[in-house]
Amino acid sequence: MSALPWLLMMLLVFVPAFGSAVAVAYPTVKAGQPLVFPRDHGAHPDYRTEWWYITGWVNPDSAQPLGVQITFFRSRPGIGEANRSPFAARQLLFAHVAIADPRAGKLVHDQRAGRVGFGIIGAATETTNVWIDDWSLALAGDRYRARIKAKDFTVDLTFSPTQPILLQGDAGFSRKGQRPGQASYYYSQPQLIIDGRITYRGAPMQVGGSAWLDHEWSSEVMDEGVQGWDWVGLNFADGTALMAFQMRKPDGTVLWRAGTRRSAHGATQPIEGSGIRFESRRLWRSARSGAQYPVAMRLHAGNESYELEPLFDDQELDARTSVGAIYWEGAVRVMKEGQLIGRGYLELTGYWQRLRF
Amino acid sequence: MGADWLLGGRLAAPFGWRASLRFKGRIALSVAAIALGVALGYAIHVINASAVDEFSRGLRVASGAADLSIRGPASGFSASIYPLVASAVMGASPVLELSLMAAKEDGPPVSFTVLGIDALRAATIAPALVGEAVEALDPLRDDTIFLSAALALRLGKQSGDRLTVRAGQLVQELRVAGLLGAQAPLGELGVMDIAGAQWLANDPDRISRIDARLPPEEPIALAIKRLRVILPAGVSVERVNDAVLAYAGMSRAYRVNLTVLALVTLFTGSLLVFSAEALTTARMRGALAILRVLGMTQREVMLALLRRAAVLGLAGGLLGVALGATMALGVTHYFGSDLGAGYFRGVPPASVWRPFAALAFVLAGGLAALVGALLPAIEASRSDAATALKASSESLRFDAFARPRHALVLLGIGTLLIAVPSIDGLPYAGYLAIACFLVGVIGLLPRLSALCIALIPRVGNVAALLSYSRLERSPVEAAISLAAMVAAVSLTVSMAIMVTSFRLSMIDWLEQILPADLYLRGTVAGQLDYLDADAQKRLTAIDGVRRIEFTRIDAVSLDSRRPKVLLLARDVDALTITDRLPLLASIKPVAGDVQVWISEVAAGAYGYATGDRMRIPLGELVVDAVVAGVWRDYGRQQGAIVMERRRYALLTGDTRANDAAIWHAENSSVASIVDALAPLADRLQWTTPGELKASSLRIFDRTFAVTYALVAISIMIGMAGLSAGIGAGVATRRREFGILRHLGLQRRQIGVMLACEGGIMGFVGAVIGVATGWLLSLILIYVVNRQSFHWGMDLHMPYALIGTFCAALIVLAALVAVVSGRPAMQGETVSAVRDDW
Repeated sequence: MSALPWLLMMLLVFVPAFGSAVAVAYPTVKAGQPLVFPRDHGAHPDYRTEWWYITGWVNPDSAQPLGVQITFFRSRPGIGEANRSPFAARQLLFAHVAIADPRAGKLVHDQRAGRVGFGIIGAATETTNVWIDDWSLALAGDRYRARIKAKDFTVDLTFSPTQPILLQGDAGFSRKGQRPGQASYYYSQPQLIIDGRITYRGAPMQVGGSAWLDHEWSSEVMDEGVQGWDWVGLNFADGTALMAFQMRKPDGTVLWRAGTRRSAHGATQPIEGSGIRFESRRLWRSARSGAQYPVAMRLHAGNESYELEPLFDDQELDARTSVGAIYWEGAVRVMKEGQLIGRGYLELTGYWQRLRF
Repeated sequence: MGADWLLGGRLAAPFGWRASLRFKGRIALSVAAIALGVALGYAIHVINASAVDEFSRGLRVASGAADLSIRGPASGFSASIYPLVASAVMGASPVLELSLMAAKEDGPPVSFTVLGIDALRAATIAPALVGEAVEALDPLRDDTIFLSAALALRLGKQSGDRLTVRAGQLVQELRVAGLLGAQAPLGELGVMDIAGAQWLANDPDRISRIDARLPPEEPIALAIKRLRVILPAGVSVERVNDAVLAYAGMSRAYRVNLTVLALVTLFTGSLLVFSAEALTTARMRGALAILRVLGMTQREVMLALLRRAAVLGLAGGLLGVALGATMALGVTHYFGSDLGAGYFRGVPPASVWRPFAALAFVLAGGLAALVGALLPAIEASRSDAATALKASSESLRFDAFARPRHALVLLGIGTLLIAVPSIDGLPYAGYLAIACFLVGVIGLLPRLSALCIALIPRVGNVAALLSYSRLERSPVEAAISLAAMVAAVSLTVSMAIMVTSFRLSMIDWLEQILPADLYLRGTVAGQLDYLDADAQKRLTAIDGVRRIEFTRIDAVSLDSRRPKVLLLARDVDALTITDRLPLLASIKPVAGDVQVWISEVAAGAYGYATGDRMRIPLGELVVDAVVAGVWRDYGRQQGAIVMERRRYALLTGDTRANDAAIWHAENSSVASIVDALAPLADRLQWTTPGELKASSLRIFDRTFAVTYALVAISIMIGMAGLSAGIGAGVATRRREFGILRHLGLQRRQIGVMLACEGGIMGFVGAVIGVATGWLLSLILIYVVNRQSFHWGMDLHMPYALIGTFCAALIVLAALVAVVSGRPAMQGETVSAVRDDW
């Protein structure tokens, strides 16, 4: 009979809850923490979200320029943290690739999503190396290489820097709201030279162009009151780079805004507060989602202002199955007094629904 | 014009319904027999078709766009195989299948299947499995579950509710995060995140299968080859549709056997039509002769007769399809669509209207009637009009019966067919042999019955002697009356012998297979319900346990198109095995080899014999084993392989067990061990060998319920056929009885004569029927069962049953003869003699 209490205990194992149900403590983004490379090119899996975002113009001076956008998102959703399973969804990766083709009149795009694990989906911590199956973005030396086999096209491009890394905000500490935690670590690689091959519409073509890379990670980017944001990353023909963003409230008023301009010679000028202003010049309404986007803008940055003209209007991206949102992510021309002075990308989020992560 | 009118109208009346009504008893019987055959066949077809349809629909939904499925044994395989597959195909979706128990406030706990999936992977391959989540991340959480509509209903849960589940010995609370969409499989199913499922399974390395999608340009066969190279040998690559074949194959033999029974019933119907038509056309000979004289051709006469038979057959077929549909509804309602055999559990009620099948079965009814009516129609159309008009004799002469050579050839072919092996796993030759024997015996009936009659000693009074001589002189008429009865009796007897042999062999087998005092197992069936090493230790330590043997149940695929074979890892070795299994054959073990003892079913289905080497795919490895013995097993129709558990644990690292057998010590008892187990009633269930035997026999009897029902029906048809045959014959013999009365016989003596006649007919039918039935039972036992189920059984004769049955037949036949003769014996003798003149 002595065995029975043991047996009972053994058989009545009751696990009250999965460990994963316990709230995850994400590290806070703090000021004064210098970015160290190449370590900070790699992933920061402890933080809640992270992305590597390449936007660029392919063959910009030809008769048929294309916009190209390649993004890898990493997310730590706070799931399965205590689960021993190699499948536990502790780290998720999402990827988008989109070609903005004026002839198609819309984005030709594809996406992938999956949980990190088994070596088939991963984000290295040593340097930039993220992959989902046969989609990858990796940094070798100072050159990025993106290899993507999408449904309707294939991209195999290298992006070579012509300028040093551009640290955003305060030496890479980029505030996104009033509260101290509402910030990200953020650096950019503007004025990248594109070289490689895009196979699209059945024909492989050798391409060139210029691109912009953002790498940003944080645990708490958005204030509860944020509806969405507008962002631009612009490469000017003279070598100048300009980044600007604003966080909008549901009523359209601005909660936070900031920007950085760096001249070809390396003079970096942070632009704070009301120095950045996005002014809508033209609205375009998507028949698919019903969302209305200010696809043409006047951007005031410090004492300069530029007109942003989209490559074409319908550059709306339906990424509901990966990041759960529909937004506008499009190639734009930078004009000043009717002159084309640069090219870049404009991102408009929160126009469909409030952006959530 | 005038002649046409004559032929088309009134004169054709003998073929019409007014004429038919005179023989309504026989007609009703033939229609009923055909309807029964059709009903049974249609019901089996419909039930099976809907079960397979539902299964393949479920599979299509669950596998979605997958081209291939990578599978291992039932215990699953290592998750480390997943990246190998994922990097070799276009899309790969890992799945872990579990069986869970959910507590229910009112009523017993519900057990259901849960698929653990990676929603992000499944989204591109089987989107129907991804639940409709309000919260986008819910499908990825490891503590949420999505329920199919049926399961939600059963559990009384909705989105947002908490659900307490038990997996093996682990209890866990999950949140119902939503329902599966309308495209999901119809059955009771839950879907979870694969990591959550692994957590519940307490094994972070196991998965059950990987569904893979190929690039559209790659041929599947090529991809299978390519994948086989990179995968461990114990994991198989299968086409998704193979699972449907395996599923359908599981019940195939059982189903085909029932369908053949239905065909035999239909054949009995044919024979009833045959005797009815033969007797009717004999009575109508005068009328037919007049028609011939009036200008109707042979062909027209024949077609008219056949048309009438076809109408009867089609009516029977229609009735049968309606009856079959009703049967199918009833059967699926009360038994589930497995006909009580446990094959198709949890399948929704059959959709019982299948127009093409219904049409085919109605036509089969018509065809059966046509076949039955063919010989009498030919006979009737051929007879010479002049003689037919003149002759008063109604005696029958069938050319078909005049040539016994054909019947003998048929018997010869039947004998040869017995030696033919199964084709595609089914005993077609055996069935054909049965058909040959039945038809052959019926062809020889006049001679066989004469032989039987000759065997009866000539004793008794004038009346008895008169009955002998009458039967001796009209063997063909006797044969026609007997045909349906012989068929029914032989069918009944063969089934009775087969079922009795099976049942008694099963009882013997149960004695041998259950040597322990107490059997123990978890309350949920399935892989999860294990006792881990610790639990095994505790159980072993219970006071009064002299010996305890554990079994780990796994299942391995030896052929992707067949159901998995059970792998029973038991605490046995080469010495104890003889006391544990009813071995049919064994060899001396070779040291160092992995030995397995395979069930008769596995040996038959996969062609292994003792001493053979077999390769058993076991997840990451393939075990090269020697077949050390073959044992009898009626329990597992998919086949079973017994391996030493010690070996299995060494090979797989799996030391868990699903079942345990306990022997109590001298100074202990089953009761005291049960007392010690009592606090675990909700975790474990135990049963004594006596209860197991009783429940096994209950299952057996339920499985054969359809067979019993069919046997009962065929006995009734046989009896009814015989009485109708005798009755019809006797009722028209007023003239004969009149003469006999003139010659001085008393009414009572005529009654005795009729009773003797009936009794002798019954006796002859019974003797020939039993002899034929015995022969058929041998084919059923040694050919049909062996070839379709691969199990052997010992022949056991149900003498008492057959004796009683025969006695009842003889008495009934005598009674029917007297009762139906009574009206003909009444009235004035003179008028009776004049009556038919």
